[in-house]
Amino acid sequence: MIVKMSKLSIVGLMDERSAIVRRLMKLGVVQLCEISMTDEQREQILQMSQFDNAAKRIAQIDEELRKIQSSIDFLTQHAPKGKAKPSKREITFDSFVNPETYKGVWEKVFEANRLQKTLAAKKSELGSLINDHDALILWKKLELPVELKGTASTEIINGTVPPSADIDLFLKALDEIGCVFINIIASDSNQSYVSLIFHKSVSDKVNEQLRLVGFTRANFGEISGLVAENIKNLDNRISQIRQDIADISEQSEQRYNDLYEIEGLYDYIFNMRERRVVRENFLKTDKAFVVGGWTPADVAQKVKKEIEGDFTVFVDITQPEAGEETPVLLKNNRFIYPFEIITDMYSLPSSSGVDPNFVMAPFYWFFFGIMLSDGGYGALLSLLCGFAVWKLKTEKGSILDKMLKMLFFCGISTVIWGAAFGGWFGDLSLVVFGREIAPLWFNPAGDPMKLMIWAFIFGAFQLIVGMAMNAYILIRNGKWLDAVFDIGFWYVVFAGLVIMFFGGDLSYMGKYIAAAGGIGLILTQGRSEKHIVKKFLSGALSLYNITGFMSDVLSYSRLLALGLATGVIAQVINQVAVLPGGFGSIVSTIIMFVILTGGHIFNMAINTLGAYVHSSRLQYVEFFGKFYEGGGKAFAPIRAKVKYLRIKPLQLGGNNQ
Amino acid sequence: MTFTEIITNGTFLAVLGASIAVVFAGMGSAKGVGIAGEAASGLISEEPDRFGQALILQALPGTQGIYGLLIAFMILNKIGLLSGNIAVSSLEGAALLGAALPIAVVGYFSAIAQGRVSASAIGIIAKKPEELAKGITFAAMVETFAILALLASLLIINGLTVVG
Repeated sequence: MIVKMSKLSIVGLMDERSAIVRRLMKLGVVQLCEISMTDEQREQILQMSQFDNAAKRIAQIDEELRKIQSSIDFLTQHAPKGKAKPSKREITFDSFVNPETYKGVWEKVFEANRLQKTLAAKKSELGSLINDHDALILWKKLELPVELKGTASTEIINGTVPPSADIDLFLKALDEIGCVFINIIASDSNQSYVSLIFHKSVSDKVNEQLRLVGFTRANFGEISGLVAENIKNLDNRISQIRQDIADISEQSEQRYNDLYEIEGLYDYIFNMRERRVVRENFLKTDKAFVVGGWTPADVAQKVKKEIEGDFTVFVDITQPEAGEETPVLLKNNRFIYPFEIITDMYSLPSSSGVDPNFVMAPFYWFFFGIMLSDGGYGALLSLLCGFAVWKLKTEKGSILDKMLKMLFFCGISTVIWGAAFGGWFGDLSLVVFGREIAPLWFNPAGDPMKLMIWAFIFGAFQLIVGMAMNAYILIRNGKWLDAVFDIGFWYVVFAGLVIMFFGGDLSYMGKYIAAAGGIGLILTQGRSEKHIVKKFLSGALSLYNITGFMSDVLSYSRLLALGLATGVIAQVINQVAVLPGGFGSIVSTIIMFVILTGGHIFNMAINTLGAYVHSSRLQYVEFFGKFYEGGGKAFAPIRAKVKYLRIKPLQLGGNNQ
Repeated sequence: MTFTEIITNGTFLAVLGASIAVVFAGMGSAKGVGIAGEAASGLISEEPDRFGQALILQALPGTQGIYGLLIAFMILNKIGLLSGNIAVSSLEGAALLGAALPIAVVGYFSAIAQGRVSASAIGIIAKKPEELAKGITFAAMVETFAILALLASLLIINGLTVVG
């Protein structure tokens, strides 16, 4: 059912604007928008007043949110080991929007961010020290100060010889020059680390050899003195920094409890942003403002009383004009409500349209069960989803809440069909325990044609209901003749065809009934054409639509295919599981349980996805195609949106969003 | 056993049918899931939160491979290979080979096509994660034909009587 909306206009004082927006947020049932006016009025009004521009403040708030988020991420990463995150903190709305609640929390954010920064700096310092250390360690045996370039008559060169060079040839060449002392400090797979001391007189020859071999002079950077001492220094610094990092990590862990307050601050600032965003709808002068809005009609008076009671405002309630699009809020009973998610994902009905959920939900539920069709999987699915709803305390109206509850109901449908077809984890009891569970109706694997026929019957029924919905919409809009021509005549044709096939002695009557319907269609389906020939032509062509109907019906054969797929794959899993010997030995029993558990979880997951997807598709393409037009915009009231806290909102009605 | 005897052997033909059902449908699914997976990885590098949504889309072209396995299993079951009493004539084997063709061929091509649709549906959720259902529906449109092929294979196998 689509909830009726009332239009609001709120006129108030600028001084009280923030408080009013906060109150509207608390109520959570008003969507704010600009007041409706014509372009001409707008021109005039904008000479006296202006719309708020909150963009600059919003950008600031975004920056604040980023800071808070980074401190949350940091503290979450440094959670003390083994400490579970407590469940969401409950808070009343009034203390939620009160800045006093967050006194001193910003300091905690800054402290966390400071720790994060220091930690990052220390970590990068540690990295570069380790690099230096790794580079020096190979020169450890060099017993000369690294800055020493030579004496009065000698030169000292330290460097590396690449692996491509033939080091023996190089050493031999240097040896032939004479007056060269060669010290190979170290060598690894990459290169050799060499220190040369030679007399200045042979400098040119040595350099020539160095060039030939591709010698690279070592770069020790800023350091001086003996390598070993430098390494010792580095070691000291590295262990010092490691200690610092450990200290900071510990400090961060101790600050873990700050997280709860910081998360609260995040929610607070985020909702402050939300309140700024709606301000752009406010038309204001220095002293006063006016803003429009939508609220469900049944709570409009309450909202008016609530706001007028506490503030100097005037709230005007009007009904939307005929044909005016209003935001869409759906309200359905608790069985239909979860299935709204299917329609939500397709497209919300327009505010003047029909909420299809009450007819769609039963079909969805029914078909999902046929496709998953295994009592064991259905029971498991319902248990899991029921447990999740109970444990997570999902918020009513959220996607998660609808999804879990929908799957809960669909699980029940699956149990029913599983019992009808005798599928309980496939044929588990027969294969493993040797006892067959008899189907209450029949086993589709044994007689697939029977289920196929039934699938077509279910499908044709849904299509006929879809056409009836179309007729209902036409009649509601006063076009009852169209309903008779476009749907009524088709019904006559279908009725005739059914009697023809199943009527027995009455079959001959069916022929005439179908023909009568067909003639009706030929006479009426071309009524939008102008020329008389074209009228009959498009009337006759419309009979061709029967093929569209047939292919829609054939599409329901997926009920059989997916249902069988679940059952047969479950059988495969069961047979594979008992191959090693079943209960024969301990090992084979363990293997059996592992295969059964893993296999059935996999089969259930993949087939639940398949049932969800294809049951949706039947609604979207086959069923909605017959009558449904979406295009509505969801009702989006200003309300507290919290990620970390839990607020008890003042629910005044509706369950959308 | 001569070559001609082998290729007219009922068991051989039936096993060949089971094999091509698994091989081609599986190859198509591998390719389709691969195509979707590449697109999904690209998305995850930007939006790691959408892993769950991307995974659903990636899984969709995987069903053809499962249908192939299903048909193979039904064929093997029919000729008694799993229970150990194989009895199948040449004609029956050839008919079972024929039964495998719909899911093998249609499974192969539809899985690849579905993989492409899934990959572009991942493009949808990159920009509008709330439109996941529409992407899924597009991919499911392709799968319809794999389901019809599966159904044809199923009905053929079910309708055949194998006496050996």
